[in-house]
Amino acid sequence: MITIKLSRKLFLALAASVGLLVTGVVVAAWSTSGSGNGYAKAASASSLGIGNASASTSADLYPGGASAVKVSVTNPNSFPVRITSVAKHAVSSITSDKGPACNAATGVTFTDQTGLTLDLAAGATSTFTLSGAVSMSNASDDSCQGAVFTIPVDVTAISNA
Amino acid sequence: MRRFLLVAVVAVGFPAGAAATWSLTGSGAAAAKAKTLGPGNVPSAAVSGRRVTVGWTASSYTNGGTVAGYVIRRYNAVTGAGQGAANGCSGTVIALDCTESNVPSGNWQYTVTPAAGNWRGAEGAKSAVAVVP
Repeated sequence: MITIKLSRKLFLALAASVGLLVTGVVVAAWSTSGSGNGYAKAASASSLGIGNASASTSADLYPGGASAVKVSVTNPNSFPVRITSVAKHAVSSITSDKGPACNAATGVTFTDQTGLTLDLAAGATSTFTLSGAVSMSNASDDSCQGAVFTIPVDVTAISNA
Repeated sequence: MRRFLLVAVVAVGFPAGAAATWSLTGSGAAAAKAKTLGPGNVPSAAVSGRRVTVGWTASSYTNGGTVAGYVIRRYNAVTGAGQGAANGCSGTVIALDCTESNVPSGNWQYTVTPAAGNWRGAEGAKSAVAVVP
C-alpha cells in the first residue's frame, strides 16, 4: 500500500478540482441529452441529406482539364451547420449516364475537399460549388462526351450555432 | 502558489466536452458534367511537289474552349477511299497545320477531326482537291 502525504492546501485544491471536473462532465452530458433547452434536439442530430445536383451542372470537364463539382446538401436539423469536408466515398466508384463503356474508363478523379467553410441554415437546402474538385485524364472514353458523372461522396459538417 | 493552483483547477474543471460541437455526416452523390467536342472545319490543301500542306482553323468544345488536337485523313478524290494522313500529318496533330510528304500521285482531299485524348469530334467536310503530280 502506498501512502501519499499531501499538504492541507494541496488536498483542498485537488478536491475542488475533482468537484469541478465532475460538474463539467455533468454539464456536457446534459447538453447532449437534450433535457430542457435548445440543445436537446442536437443530441439526436439527423444526418445531412445529399440530393441530386446533376441539373445544376455545366459542361466544363474535358480530357486534361479540371472543373467544378456540384453537391446539394439538406440540413434537416433545427440548428445551422458548417460543412467542413467533402470526400470521395471509399468504396463506390464514379459512374456516368453514358453507360458501361464510359463507366469503365471515365478518367474522372475527385480530389477530397477539406478545410471548407460552407454554411447551411437550419432546415435549409443549398447546392454548393466545389471549384476545381474534379479532373479528367486522357484515358476518358470517347463515349464520355457530354456525360453527367455521379460522384459518391461523404459530407462532414459541424454544428454552427 | 495559491494563484497557480486556482488556474490549474479552472483548467481541469472545464473539459472540452462542455462546449459541445456536434459532428454530422451525410452520404450521397455529387455531380459534374463533361463537354462535347465540336466538328472539324474544312481545311485548305496546298501542293508543292509531292508535299501537301494542310491548314485549318481551331474547333471548339461545347460550352467554350478551343480544341488542341486534330486527326487528319486523306481521301482519294476519284474513288472516295480514305486513309490516315502520314509522313508529317500522322496521329494526333497538336497544331493548326501540318505538311504530309511523299504523297502519291493523284487527286486527294483532306479532312480534319478534333481530338482530345480518346475523344473524337465529328469529321469535318473535305477540302478542295489537291492534285499531286
